[in-house]
Amino acid sequence: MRTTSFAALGTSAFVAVADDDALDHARATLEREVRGLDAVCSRFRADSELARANARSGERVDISPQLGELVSVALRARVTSHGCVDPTLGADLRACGYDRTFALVRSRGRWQIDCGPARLRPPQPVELDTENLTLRVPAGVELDLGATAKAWCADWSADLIARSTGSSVLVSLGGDIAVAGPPAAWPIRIAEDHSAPLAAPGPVVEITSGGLATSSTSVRRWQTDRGEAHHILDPRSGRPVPETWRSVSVAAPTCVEANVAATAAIVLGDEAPSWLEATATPARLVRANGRVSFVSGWPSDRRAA
Amino acid sequence: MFGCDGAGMNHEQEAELRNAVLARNAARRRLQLATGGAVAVAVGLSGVFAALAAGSTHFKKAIVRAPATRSARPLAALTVAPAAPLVSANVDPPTSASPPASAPTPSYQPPVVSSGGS
Repeated sequence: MRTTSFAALGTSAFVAVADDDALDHARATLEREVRGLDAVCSRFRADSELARANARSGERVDISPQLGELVSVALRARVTSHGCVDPTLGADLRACGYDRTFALVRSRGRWQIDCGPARLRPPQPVELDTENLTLRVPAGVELDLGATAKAWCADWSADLIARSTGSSVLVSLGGDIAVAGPPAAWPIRIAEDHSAPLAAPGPVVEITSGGLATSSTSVRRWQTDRGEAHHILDPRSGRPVPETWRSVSVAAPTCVEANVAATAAIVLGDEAPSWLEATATPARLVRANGRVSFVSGWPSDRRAA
Repeated sequence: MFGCDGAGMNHEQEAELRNAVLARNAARRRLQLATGGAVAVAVGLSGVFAALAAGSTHFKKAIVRAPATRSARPLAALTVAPAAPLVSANVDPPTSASPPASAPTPSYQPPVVSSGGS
């Protein structure tokens, strides 16, 4: 087994292959796919396709097949999460202070929130025509694909690498993990912060297929004039969700599904465990006070430590 | 009752989303059809060439050369039309067509990577 990693998408990209000879190809594939994703849907690049579509909100614009797929996945996530994971919150994120790459947000100091009091708002309709490849972002709305695009890229890249090399592969983009190829047991540490040292204390679990993702309110945080903010917004208010959970880790058939469920659980608050049980989604939830819960067969930390 | 739909999606919005998903699925089906056709042609041609080779050399060698699975490899180049089935095509919330996820198992091996916030 060989691994390699590099900085990408404001976080880290990591790939591991069971077949040692596959590593160079795996890395080259992941670098290419991550570069492509950034060019298509970065919120912080004025020349990205998504930024151009957002800048022309209210108009119908032509889009690439990849942006069509990414928006489609994000809209589907809104449905499967019952609206908890909503791609139309880009303007709200910006108003809350997340208006540039996170490294710059963190170094900026206190942000003055100027979006007025939180308000209830209905879901915003997005017109996506995947047949003719056109997109109309509602006027005044900005799409943010942060909850699904990275996970989609992990799934997509892992599948590409496995198919082209025949090797079992694990891809992690900032802790959003996808596994593909011949079944192999991949040991993964569950942590608050994906960049924590591997030797740090914490449970280790194995997956052999699909995806595993963790959403957390404790890493992407910044200072505002109304206290600390984080990047997971409640679509009903456009504001950071109250912190019932510090982190939620989910295993699912794909990394996208895992990340959507993990983020939805953070948004759902106390309703999350029963929702995850009802959807038979294995998850590990850490409350703001540190207490840990397990649902749908996720092993307890005592067994996985 | 779960959900964050707030005022809820109205019928028009649901129809828009449904139409978008259906259009995508239709495009995906066409792509799969074309892909299937290409694979079938490739497999067929491989068989023909293998048979020709068998007729001109030794029978046993032809049998060895017959497998056509490699002919599907170039399809990986279709990255410009991303169609990986990432989420269920079923648009009726809250059900999902995806099979239930396998729960992770405890591991006693050193971890290769961490999952956490980023």
